Parts: sequence; structure tokens; C-alpha cells
Amino acid sequence: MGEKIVLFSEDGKRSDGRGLDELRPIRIKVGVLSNAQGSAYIEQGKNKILAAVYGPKEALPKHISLPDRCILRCRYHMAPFSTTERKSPAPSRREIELSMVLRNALEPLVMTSLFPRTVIDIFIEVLQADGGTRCAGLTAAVLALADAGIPLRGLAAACAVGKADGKIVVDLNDLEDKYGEADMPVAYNPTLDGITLLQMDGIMSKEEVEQALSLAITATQKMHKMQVDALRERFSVQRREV
Amino acid sequence: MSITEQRPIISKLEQQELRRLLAENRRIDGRSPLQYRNISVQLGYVEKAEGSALVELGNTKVLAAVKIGIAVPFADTPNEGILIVNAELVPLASPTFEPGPPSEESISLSRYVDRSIRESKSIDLSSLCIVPGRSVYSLYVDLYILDYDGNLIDASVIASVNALGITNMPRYVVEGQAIKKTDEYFKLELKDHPVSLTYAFLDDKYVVDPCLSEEYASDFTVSMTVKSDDRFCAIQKNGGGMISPRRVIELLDRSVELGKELRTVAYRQLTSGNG
Amino acid sequence: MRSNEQQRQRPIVVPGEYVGDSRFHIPGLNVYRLSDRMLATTVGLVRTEGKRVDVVALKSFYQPKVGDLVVGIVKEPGTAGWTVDINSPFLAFLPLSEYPEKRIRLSRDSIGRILEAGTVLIGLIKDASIFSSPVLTLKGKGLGVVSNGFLLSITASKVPRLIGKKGSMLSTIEKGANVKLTVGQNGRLIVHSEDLNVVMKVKEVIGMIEKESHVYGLTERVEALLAGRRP
Repeated sequence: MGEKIVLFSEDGKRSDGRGLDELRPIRIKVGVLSNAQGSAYIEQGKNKILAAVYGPKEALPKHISLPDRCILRCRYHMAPFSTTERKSPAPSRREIELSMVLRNALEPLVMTSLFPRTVIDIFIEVLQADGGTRCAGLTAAVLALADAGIPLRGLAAACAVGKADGKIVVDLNDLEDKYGEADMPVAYNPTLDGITLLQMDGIMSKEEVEQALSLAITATQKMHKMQVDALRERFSVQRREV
Repeated sequence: MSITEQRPIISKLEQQELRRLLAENRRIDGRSPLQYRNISVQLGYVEKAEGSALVELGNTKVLAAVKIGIAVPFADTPNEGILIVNAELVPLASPTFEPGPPSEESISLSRYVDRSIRESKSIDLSSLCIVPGRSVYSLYVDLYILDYDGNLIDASVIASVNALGITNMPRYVVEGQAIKKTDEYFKLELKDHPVSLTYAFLDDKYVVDPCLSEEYASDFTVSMTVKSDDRFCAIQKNGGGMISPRRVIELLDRSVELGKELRTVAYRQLTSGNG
Repeated sequence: MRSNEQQRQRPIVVPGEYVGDSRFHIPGLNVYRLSDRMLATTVGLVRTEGKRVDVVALKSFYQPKVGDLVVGIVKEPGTAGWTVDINSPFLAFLPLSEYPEKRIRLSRDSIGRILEAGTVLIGLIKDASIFSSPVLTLKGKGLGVVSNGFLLSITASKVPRLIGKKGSMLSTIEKGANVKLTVGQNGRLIVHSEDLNVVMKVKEVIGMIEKESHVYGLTERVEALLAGRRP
């Protein structure tokens, strides 16, 4: 320990060669699982994350159901091999918290009052983690909900912004996440101009939080376009010429 | 799995009352929207703990106690002491608190308090190393929620910081391979006085320091922890709903402003040297 | 080879996308209002009928309506009837009183023996609300147990496309494949045939309708497929 972790090269580029407001390469595919009602897959940097949606179905046992709307059940889980050190497959406190944070971020998008007494299950499985898994997981989960045909007020995409070596950066990678000064995951719905997920840890001044927030909005708007493209791609017909 | 929570039903009339009052910038307990409840802090409530504080925020009661021990450091931080925050939603405090393994609510609460202390660098963990890689101090902050009338987050941060602020650390000496506890104590140095400010949103209005009925009636809450130098070290939106970016920025301003006031009241005894 | 015209696809909208101005239109299926804007709630195709704007979902699940013909699978015999899987969020209930047999002697015929778990049946939704389990009846013409044939499925929102205007698409398929079909509104259909080749052909056609309903010239391609020409 003790050696300085280099987050920026001399020419001001980030450790993975990106500019400050540049997203990592993102690949999204919708409709990747056969059994789930809806599913999506996202690669963002080295993140590889699957999301699946089952339901709506009758909420059982009955005492969990709500008389006026549908409930959501959400599980964010990291595979044991997703990190450098093997992670115990049992849910950690972090995963329990994130499952809740993600459920809270998805719930305002779903038109839950259309399906009283039912439940929608959302599974987010991190196969490989590279920083920003909750955000990439959310971006995929929203698409899985749309793929399932569940009525939504709109889509939302999520991106972590933060501070590394004194600079405000977008879409933190693993290194910046670990050694940076602050990390702020944001999920944003451009249709309703609404933030559905907001967390921050690390230290930032008011001005820095404001700047980070505005970078997050721009980044999630870019990602929103990718989400729309991925959905259209899913349902457009590719027919082979014979 | 995280499941949509079942909130206790509050009557339509109370919901209406809350909203109609708020439309006139008034609240159910007579406060104004940005007014905090009275805070009382009793330092050293538990004598068996190395540091403790009983905080009452209106009817909300939180007891924080710090226990000190020694432990093997985590592999990735061999020179740093260990800080662990744990919150118990004690069943006697609310009909919604149930015995059993920690609920996601308690995990989320303790993780937020942990971030508020850790990220604000209120404790210099590197000063809590005894033998690098082998032996460091462990600080367990146990939060006991004894009565629940809303806003556990802010009350818990205040209780934890107060308890840490009066914590007496037993001095250990290294004798060959052994580490021995001495009769001497030294004071844990508190580097910062972070405060958390929680806002509950009802439709497009919001209140600071929500009481329980406001919390139940709200769409979501946002908590922000501000350090003594007005910088932020933790933010979290809890519950469903959406907040506009404009509103978030407004809250940042509010928090800096309200944080100054709250800090003076919440840590008066620590800073006046009565600790 | 097809012309470009045939390949043209109708534009797909996604949740949150603008589909019309609420000052001039009325939000219909899968559309909601946000002040002056009308927005889609599902991935689908915009359909305007008069002032009303609908989004026809490209994928959906079945929500029962009174009068719907459905294909169900008996899940569990109970004491007063059967629970039936009708491919919707809630299991349907088929009460004993809606079973067409006049006299059922419960002492001798246990309910489970009358309709075993797994039995496929064609029923009608007699009662449905979003708040309670739908109720089925087997009393009526064309309703009852299906003991021969094949069970296929299609996403529920495509059923109207499969049936077509005044049943035109359905009769095209029935004529083309020389077979009788029963289409449930719940996205399940029965091919009344014993001929595997016929079933495979129908399956292919269903797959095409499911995937390509938003590509212009669907009927022609279905006809071509049935006639054994590659579309």
C-alpha cells in the first residue's frame, strides 16, 4: 500500500483514456432470456448485467398484496465470480440496501394502480462488476419492464457521476469508484424531468454536486437514446433475404 | 428481495389535513415547513459503553452507544481502525418494528449513518492502528431506536456523533507478541460535526424533519449530510416518487443554511467542552 | 425478393414517447396524459381512430374482460370448482355450477376426477374485474373440454391481428392450412387437427404474425407462406 493510484494521465485523460464527460462503451440488448416475461442485458465498460421481469402475477401470500396497486419485488445480486475476490453468494448488507434503492427507483415509473393485488418480480444479476453496477442494472431493469409489456410512465437511465482527483467525472470506472473522492449515482426520467434514484457518498461542495448533477442529466439523456434504440431493435424485424 | 412496503393506513382526513395545512405553510404539530423539532441530548447515558448519547428529537428517541475493542484490520486497509454502525429497530418502539434479522430499513439506516461518519472523515481511522496488519481499534456504534416518531436518520446521525464525541479509548500497549489493555484512557478525536437533514415530500411541497404522520403521508424523503465546512458527504433519496433536478439544487442550499443552525444545537455540549 | 415497400415497417413508439396533443385527441389504450402531451406507456404502434389515440402493444399480457373466449388449463380442483390458468395475472375460477353436466354427484365423482389438473378447456369469461379472480363458464356453444388437437400461444395483444378484420386473417389461415382453429383472447389457440404437418405450418404462420405484425403487407406474406412459397 501507500503507492499513489493514478486516476489521470498527464494529458488529462482518465485511466481508461476517456474524457471527463465521456461514457464508457455501452452495449444494450433487449429480450435476451426465453422464460422471463421481459429481459435485458447491458455491458458498460466491463460490467455485464442481466435483468429479468416476471409478472404481473397474483401477489401471494395475500398479506403482501396491496388492494389499490401492484407491488414490486426487486433483487439486486452479484454473482460470486463478479469481483476480483470471490463474493459470498448470500446477500450482503450492501445488496439488501441496493435492492431497496433500485425498487424505489423503478416504482415511480410503473403504472402500478392498473394491476391491484399483483406483484412484479425484478431480478438484476451482476455477472461482472466494474463500478456503477446499480446504475447499469437499473438501466437494464427499466428495459426488461418495457420488454415485459408493463405500462410505464416513461423510461429512466442511470449513471454514476462523481469526483476523482479533484475533477468532476461521468460514469466512474472501478478505479475511480474506489479511489475517487465522491460517487453519486443518479437515475433520471427525461419525460417527467424526474430523478428516481439519488445517492451520494464522498465529499463534494454544493457547487460540485450541482455540476455533477447536470453532467448526470446529460449522460442519462444520452443513455435514454440508447435505451430507445435497443427497444426498437428488439421489436423490429430482421428478415433474411432468400 | 426488497418488497414494496405496507405503510400503516393513515386516514384520508389526516392526509387532507396535512396537505391543506402545508398549502398554508403550516404543519400538523404547529411547526413551519423548515422548522426542526426540539432536540435534547443526554451524553454518557450508558456508563458501560465507552461513549453514548440519548437523543430525543420531538418524540423520536435514539440511543447511540460506542463499544471499543481490538480487531484484525481488513486486508485492504491494514493501517486503519474498523468502524461498524449497526441499527436496531427495537420492537418496543413501533408496531411496525418486528423482532428478527435486520430489516432493509435498519440496514439502510445504519449504512447511511456509517457513510455520514466515514465519508465526513469525522474519525481518523488511520490514527486507530495499534500494530499494522495485525491489530487495530474497532469502533462499534450501536443505534437503538427506542421511540419512533419519524426522521430516524437525522436523530441517529446526531446520536452517533455525540456518542463518538465523548468516547474514551482504552490505551493498549504492545508487549512482545501480546497486546495488553492498560488502565489509561485517551479521548477519541472528533474531526468534524456532520449533520443530516431529511426532507419529506408531499406532492410538490416539502418539510424538514418530518414527524411520523408526515413521513407516512409523504411520497419520498431526501436526506443530505453536511459537514462543518458546508460540504456534503452523503445524500440519499428514500422511497418511490421523483424529484426534479431543480428541487435537488434547492435542497442543497437549504441544507447548508439549516445545517449551520442544527449543528449548533445538536452538538452544543460537545463544542462547549462539557463532553 | 420483396420490394422496399413491403419491407417498410410502421414506427415503433416506446414508453414515455409523445403520441399526440391532448387538446385535440383523447388518450386511449396504453396512452396517458401529461398536461397537453399524450405519452405512450408501452412499446407499440400508434393507431388513431377519430379523436382517440391508442398504442397497440407489441407485447403484453392478458387482462380478462367479460365475454372473452379463452383457452384455459385446469390447475387445481377445489371443493366448489376448479382454478384455471388462463395466462393472466390471476387464476380464473370455474365454479361447479358453470360446468355443463346437469347432475354431478359429488359423493361419487370427486371434483378432481371430473376435470383433472392439466385438462385444456375452452371457456368464456363470465365475470371479471381488476379486483377479483375472473370467473369462467363452460356453458355455451363451442365451450367445453378439448381432448384432441394442439395448443399454441401468441402474445395477447396480437390476438386481434391474428383474427383480423371480421375474422379475415383467421379464415385465410384456416383455408390455407385446411384446418379449424379456436383462438382465445388470452393468447392461446387450439389447432383442431391430428396432422403434425398442419400444426407445424400453423405454428410458422403464428410466429410470423407475432414478429411482423407491424411490417406492411402481412396478409400477403401469410398467404404466400401458406401456399408454400417463401415470402
